[in-house]
Amino acid sequence: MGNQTYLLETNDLTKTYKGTKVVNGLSLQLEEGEIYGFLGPNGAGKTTTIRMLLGLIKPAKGNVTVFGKDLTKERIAILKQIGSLVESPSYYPHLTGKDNLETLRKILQVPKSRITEVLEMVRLTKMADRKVKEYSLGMKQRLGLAASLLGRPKLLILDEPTNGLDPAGMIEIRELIRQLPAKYGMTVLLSSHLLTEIDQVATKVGIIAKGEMIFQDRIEVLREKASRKLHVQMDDWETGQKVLSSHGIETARHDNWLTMPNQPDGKIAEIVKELVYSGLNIYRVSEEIASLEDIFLNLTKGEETL
Amino acid sequence: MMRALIQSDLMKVKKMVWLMMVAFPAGLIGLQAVNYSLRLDHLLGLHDDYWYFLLENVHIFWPTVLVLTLTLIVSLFASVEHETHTWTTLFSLPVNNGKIYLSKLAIILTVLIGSSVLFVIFSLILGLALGFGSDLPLMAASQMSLYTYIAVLPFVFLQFWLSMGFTNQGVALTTGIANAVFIMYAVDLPTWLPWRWPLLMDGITSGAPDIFYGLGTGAALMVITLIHLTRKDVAA
Repeated sequence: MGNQTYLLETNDLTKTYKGTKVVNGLSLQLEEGEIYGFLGPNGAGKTTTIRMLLGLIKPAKGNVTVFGKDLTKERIAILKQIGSLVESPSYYPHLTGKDNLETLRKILQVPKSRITEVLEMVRLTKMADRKVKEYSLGMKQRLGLAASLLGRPKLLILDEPTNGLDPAGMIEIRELIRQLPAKYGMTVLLSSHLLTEIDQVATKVGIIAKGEMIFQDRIEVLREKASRKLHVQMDDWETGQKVLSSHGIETARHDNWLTMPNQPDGKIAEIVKELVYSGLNIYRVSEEIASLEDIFLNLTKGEETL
Repeated sequence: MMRALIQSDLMKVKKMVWLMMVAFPAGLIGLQAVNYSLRLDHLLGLHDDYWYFLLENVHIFWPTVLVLTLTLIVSLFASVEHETHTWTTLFSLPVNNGKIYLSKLAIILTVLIGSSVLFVIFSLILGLALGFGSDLPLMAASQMSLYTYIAVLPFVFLQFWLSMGFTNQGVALTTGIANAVFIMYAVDLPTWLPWRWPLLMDGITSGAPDIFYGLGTGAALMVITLIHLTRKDVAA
């Protein structure tokens, strides 16, 4: 791990507010071209972490390295290549959508044509000349996304980007985000409190609870945790366990239930047949499907949300 | 970069700012116009130099009005960002944090200069309308306006710090309005207190030493304000 270079890396990142550690020893690694889903219940410290990644607030401990540069030393050089949307999208209601982007474009010093491009990307072209106070929440969110894309960033940091969008809008934005790495060579860090949201776009997941990273790996690893299980209830579990282990299936027992990893249909039929031939009485055969949502809840179990 | 920032900030300025820049000096001169039209003979009898006396009269309430103007204008500039939570976006841009504030400060100071210049112009128009002759006291009027401007600088930076630093504009507005009112009663205060400086008690054309106090205190407050604002965590 140590000598691998990450696009973004934090080390033991900690933030304390009035004696409470809001973010505690967070180590986060983000590789180029990834869509990193940063997941956690409300109040877990997602936004605080993101604010530290952008240098908006100073960590009490730890450091942030982006593009191989130290954030505290080369903040401006780093920010040149970062686009961000933090919390609710910010906009000036008395200006039009286009003018809102123009106030940022002037500072980012990108060509004017870029405004048309990003408006196109978030499908807001039609509304561009209307004042933002007439926008719906979804449109404002799109405008925020457009603003974050304005500077052609290498790294895009989005804090709950689909907040306030209707289902159709969510899917659309999700599609847009999914395309970013391949189409524009961007790396995305995406925070959400909804696993389903992350599940559909992310390649890597970090789960944070009470300010601590409790899981960080590829999404497939998380999905594996969601594997199905088969439960069989019988009268004599000891014999049952022997029969099954002679067939190479390891089981766990709970009362007179035997639990095993899920098997293909044919194998299940075989198992049941074997057990019946061994003179056992089978009461129930059932399948347990742990959804990603269950796993997420399990991982963050006992954490009170705010 | 400063130019880009200023252009960007100018796009966001609310029309209210321009209105206040014009309306406050115009309103004050309007009041003096009423005063003069009601008791012209009495006022003309009080002083030989009609022009100078007019400038003294219009200046009486100018410090109060100017502090009121700057309080409201600074607050408007700050609330454009506070209300919309755009600080986060602004400070995530690849720009030095100090420059973001300096850009706003530059525009605010310019708007106040605009207001001061308009005040001189309106004063001269009033004098002309009253028939004081075409021998315009340009020098005296400019001195009066410029010295007052310099003497209120500490208030500009105080308001800048309160308005930009805190989301709740109540504190900034209360402080600013209280200061504006207090200036009217500051005549008998010791010379080292900033409320007395804009009153130009040594005469409206002899600014020293009050304007030096104003300049020094203003510069010190500006440095402290900018250091505090750029170092603090960006509010949500």
